[in-house]
Amino acid sequence: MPKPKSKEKLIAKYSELIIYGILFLILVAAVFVVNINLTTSSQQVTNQIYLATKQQEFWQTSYRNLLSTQTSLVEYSVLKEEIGFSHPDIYSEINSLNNPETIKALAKRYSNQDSVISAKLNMVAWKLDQVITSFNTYKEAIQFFDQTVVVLNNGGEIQIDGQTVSIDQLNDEASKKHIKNISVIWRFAKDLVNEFVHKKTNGLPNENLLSNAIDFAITKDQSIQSNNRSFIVSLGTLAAGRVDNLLLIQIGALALSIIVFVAMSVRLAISLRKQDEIIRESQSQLIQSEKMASLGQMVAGLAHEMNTPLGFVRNNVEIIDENEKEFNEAHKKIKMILDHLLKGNYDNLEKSIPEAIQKIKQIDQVGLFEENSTMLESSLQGLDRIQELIVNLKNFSRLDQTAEQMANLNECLDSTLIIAHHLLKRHVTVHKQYAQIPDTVCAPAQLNQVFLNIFSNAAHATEEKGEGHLTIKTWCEKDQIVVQISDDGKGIPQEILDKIFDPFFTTKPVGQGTGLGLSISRKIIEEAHNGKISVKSKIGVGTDFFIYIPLRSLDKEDTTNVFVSDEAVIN
Amino acid sequence: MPGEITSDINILLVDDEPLVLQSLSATFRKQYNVYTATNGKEAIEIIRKYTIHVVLSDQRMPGMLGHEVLRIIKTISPSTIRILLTGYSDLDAIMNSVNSGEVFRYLTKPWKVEQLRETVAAAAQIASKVSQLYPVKPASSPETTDQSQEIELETQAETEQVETPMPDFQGQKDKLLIVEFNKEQLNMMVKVFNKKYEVLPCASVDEAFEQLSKHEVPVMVTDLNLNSEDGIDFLYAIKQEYPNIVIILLTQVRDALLAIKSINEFQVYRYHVKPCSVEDLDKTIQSAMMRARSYRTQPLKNVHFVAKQVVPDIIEKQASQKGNWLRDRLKGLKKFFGV
Repeated sequence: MPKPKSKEKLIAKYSELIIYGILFLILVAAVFVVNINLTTSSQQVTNQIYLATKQQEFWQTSYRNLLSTQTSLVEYSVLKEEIGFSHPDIYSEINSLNNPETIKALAKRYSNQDSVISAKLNMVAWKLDQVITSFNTYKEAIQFFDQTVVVLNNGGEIQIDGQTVSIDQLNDEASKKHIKNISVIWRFAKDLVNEFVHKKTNGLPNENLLSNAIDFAITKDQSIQSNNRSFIVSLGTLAAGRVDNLLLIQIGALALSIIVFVAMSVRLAISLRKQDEIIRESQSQLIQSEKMASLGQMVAGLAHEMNTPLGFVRNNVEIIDENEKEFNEAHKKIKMILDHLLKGNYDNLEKSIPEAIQKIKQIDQVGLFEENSTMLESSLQGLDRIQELIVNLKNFSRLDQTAEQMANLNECLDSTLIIAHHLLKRHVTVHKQYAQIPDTVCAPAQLNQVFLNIFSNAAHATEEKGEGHLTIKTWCEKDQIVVQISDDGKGIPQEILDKIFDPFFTTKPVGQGTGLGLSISRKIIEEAHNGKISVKSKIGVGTDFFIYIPLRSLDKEDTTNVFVSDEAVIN
Repeated sequence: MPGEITSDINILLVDDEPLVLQSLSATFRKQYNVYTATNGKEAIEIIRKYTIHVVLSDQRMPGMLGHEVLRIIKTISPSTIRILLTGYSDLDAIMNSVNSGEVFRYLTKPWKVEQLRETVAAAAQIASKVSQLYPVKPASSPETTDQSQEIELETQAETEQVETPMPDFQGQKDKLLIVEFNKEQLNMMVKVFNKKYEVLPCASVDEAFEQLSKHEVPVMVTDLNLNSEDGIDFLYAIKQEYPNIVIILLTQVRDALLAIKSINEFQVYRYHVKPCSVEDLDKTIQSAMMRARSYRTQPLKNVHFVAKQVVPDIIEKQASQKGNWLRDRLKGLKKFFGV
């Protein structure tokens, strides 16, 4: 059941990551939304401020024009009265004329007769024009003012200078109070102003209404203006507050995201380290199991190689033992004859001698002595072989020696060949083409592992064919030793040739190889020996491994001291 | 070769190691005529030339492997009793060869002289009994060529007889005993083989004993892992009482030592590893049925049966207490039901 468990673990790990991701996204989205909100509301405030400023402008315009309407109207009346004193006829004529153009035309008419009256008439026309212009400007301004009051109070749209400004209803009570004030003040005057604006007597503003309007304007001017200013100011503070808020939110978001990020990276670092540990652990386990596998191969080879001599030596000893029994019997019989002779029991000799002769004859006939000596000889040979195997085992594993030492690669190859004998013996003929190569500093046990690996691969590669050849060449090349191990097996397909040194790559079925053999071999050659290992292969023709080991002699200067400390020498 | 001591038993030793051959010849030269060969080819030549009763071969040799040599020897000289000598690292190869060699015994290296002699002696006795079944091959063939031709024809006819599937025996379906403690697997096998054979399903040792004593069973398919009962003892008991039954092992454990044991102790016919394909198992059962028929008609072809008659000690010696106890139980049932 380890698989589902690890799957669960995996899901847990990923869900943690996903949670972090979602948190991060939510944070970013929230900041975005808040930002947008704030931007739109500050756009609103800008609009409101703009409109409030416009309101002020309209109010001031209307105020100014209202006053100028009045003064112009008074001046107009005075001028008219002046004409009335000197030319009552003209007065009555112009009194009914409320159009500056007609008065100007009249003035032109009089310009030839009486230049004074003509100039006066022009003045009258000009004043009248002024009255009308002021009044119209006032009318326009006050209507706009009215609209701004409504829009600022309730929200809505307004057209100013050809631009449409849209305003939401205010939420802020403090600023709302000011605009409400204006609205209340205005509500009382609105009807009056409306009447004044629309009702004209003799085509001119009604003087009563005008004075009412002026009354209102003068009494309320300060109040409206101050409310308007307060309104703008309060909107300003509102905007400033918003900016502060925005800053705060942004700083908060930044802080939060830093926290999330730090938490995330800490978690990631921890799990990465854990992963690393797991990988390292399993890798060392695999390397261990690969070592065990090559040890197993070695043991299998050794067991097989030992079994044969052990088998026949044991057999021989038992046969020698059996033969010895025959010799003993013969010996006993001869001794008896001697005994009889000594004691003078000649009668018994008659029976004993033929018996002894027969026994000896039997022994000679079968050739028991010769057999025994051959058996002994072959036993000795067998024991020598076992001894040789043990020595070779020592050479192969070099457990009793330092890892790095001077060694001859030819000897390493030979001792590995003995270990691999059981793999190769059935179907592989080995050809050795060793050159005289110098000893070099290397780790023979590790190199043997590499050679064994390649030999065993060669044995597998030639298995299908039934018989194969393994050629081992060594030579010296500048400052390195080259070992070429070639087989004429089935070869390695081009597409996997690059992968054979990768860890865990194997062509053997599951359970029959760790896929680490060649990757460890490469490690041994490249990392431990600073050498190189390469492969060439052709399908159906064979595979060549090349191993390059740099020549190295033992470090000359021996830096280790003879004694642990030299104090004792001095003293 | 020591030819002075005459014996009517010829044994052939095959090993690529001359020292081993020397040692083994010294072991056997007193009792038998010893022939030696250092490889499979030589061995086969010797088998062709002489009547060899027992062949003892090493497994791992250059060229042909031991079990391959024995398989070829079997086709040339079916009466020759075959013994394989195997080393530690050959176990995997043995596992693959169990089904093809039909070897009398597997011996492991290093061997003990006493055991080796015992086994070879038993094999020699069996061989002399079995050889009655086969026509005697002349010591030197050239003088009677026509006769040897005759022999060839005869053996050919014999193999044909074995290989052609016989029509249903007396219109009846063959009986097939299946022992499997896993109910599901048992039911599945019953379903698969019910059409061809009269299947006797058994889910326990007792059931198996009962069925065996009620019916004459030619072939049984069984697992070795039978809950608490030791499959080896169980099969030993059966084989002792019913030497003609052909046993097919169907087991999860791929264990060479176990395979060797099952061959040495109850001459298992085939060793299949679960899961195996229905086709393979069916083929095996078919050939096992043919084998059972030939045992029925010619009991001497059954080496184990002969061994039981000729050298009962060598077989009974290996039995455990449990095996004997089971055998007694089976004997009792056999008396009770009568088959």
